[in-house]
Amino acid sequence: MRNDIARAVPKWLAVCCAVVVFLLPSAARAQQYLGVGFHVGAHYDVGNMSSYNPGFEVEPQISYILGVSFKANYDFLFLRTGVDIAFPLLGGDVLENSDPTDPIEKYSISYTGLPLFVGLNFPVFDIGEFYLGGGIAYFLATGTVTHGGAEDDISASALGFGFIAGMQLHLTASTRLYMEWEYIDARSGAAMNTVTGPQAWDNLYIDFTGHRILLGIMYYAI
Amino acid sequence: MPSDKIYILRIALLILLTAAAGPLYAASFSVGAQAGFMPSLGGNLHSSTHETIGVHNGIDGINRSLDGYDTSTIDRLLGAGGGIVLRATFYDYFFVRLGGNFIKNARGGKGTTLYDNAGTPELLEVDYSVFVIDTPLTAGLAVPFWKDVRIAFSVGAAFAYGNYKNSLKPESGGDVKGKFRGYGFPLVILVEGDYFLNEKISLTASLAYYKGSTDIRKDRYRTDGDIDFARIDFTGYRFSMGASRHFYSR
Repeated sequence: MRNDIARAVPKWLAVCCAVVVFLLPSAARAQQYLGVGFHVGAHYDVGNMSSYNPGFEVEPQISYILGVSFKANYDFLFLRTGVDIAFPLLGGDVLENSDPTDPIEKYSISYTGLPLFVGLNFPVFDIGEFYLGGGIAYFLATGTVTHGGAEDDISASALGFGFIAGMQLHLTASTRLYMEWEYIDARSGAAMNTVTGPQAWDNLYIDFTGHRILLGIMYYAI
Repeated sequence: MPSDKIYILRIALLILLTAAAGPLYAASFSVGAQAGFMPSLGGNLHSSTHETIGVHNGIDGINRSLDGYDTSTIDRLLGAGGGIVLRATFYDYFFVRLGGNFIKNARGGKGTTLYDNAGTPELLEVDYSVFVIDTPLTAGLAVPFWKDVRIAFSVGAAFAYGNYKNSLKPESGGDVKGKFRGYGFPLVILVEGDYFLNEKISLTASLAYYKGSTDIRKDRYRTDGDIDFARIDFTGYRFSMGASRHFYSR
């Protein structure tokens, strides 16, 4: 397990994360500016199954997201982290499959994401701000995949990289409406066997890559 | 009928001429440096050799694992790099931006998977590497908010040169290699923000999306007994941060 984590997170990345986490409270204290937000959102085409197998015609899975976010501002810099949980709203269907060796029929994936972004704030007069940052995210997924008439459980994890672009609009002195666009590229290793040949190896991975739109309210407690 | 490349070259030439005429009218220029990253550098890195081991989507589908075999996950390439940026702003709101970037794989692309060797699973050591040099030329609008902030949106095209290598080493011996290089003219969309620390220095954050690839390129290794074909894909998002020095002509 420790080896898996060490492989997934290179040393330079671990050092960067440690620095960011170390700076988060001090940054927030320095600016007295720490927000806690609650949001809803959506992720279209969870699993990217059509790119997994070009022989699939897919009705993609659509998930809704519930999440908590934390944003610390230090002058022009910000740190944004949180927890996002994605639940299937519409499960994925493989409508046509021209690959008889990989008989996936349906899939349904839930996941938890832990993003961490660093970037720049761009205040827009006194009415709000635009912000743009890059960072990492760790994902943990569970779900079911129906293949060859049988339904199997799947679980997988992945570390990904991406960006966030957001806007906040001042509602009151301490609350803001925010809307964010996240794109994170993350894909697990092989987590389940679905192919019938030439070998019974694990081949199916979970692709978390995609765009996420979030809408929420943030309260600046400090 | 002119090809897409000719059209893109014409558009790039038009933007370049506009930029060249800029000094007559420009209110400000800036020179900056940026560093950043690009997830999935090179796209899925698929090549015809992948088809021979039953992989139809390159690095995305390369991973396989089986009890009793010591495999490791081969992650997509994370590119890291940096570059310089030259910008000219006209009449406060219109600007042209020319960049020069180098980006190389910094994480992922290595590991051990399995392939089917005449009915028997066999370990396969895989190694991918990519680097890209590109010069995006974009033009667009810049909106200042007071004197502290400027947000700009621009579109254009880039000249991009790519170099992609792969190596597939079966446990039983041999090393099937591919080496590709080529250029293309990906389209570029770019959002960029400047946060001015003072009148002359700003911190920048930018998000760019490239869309385009080379033609199909032929493997340049001649001695491994395998001829491979692949595209070098420049498509993807790039996030960068840096700083710029601004010069004002009036």
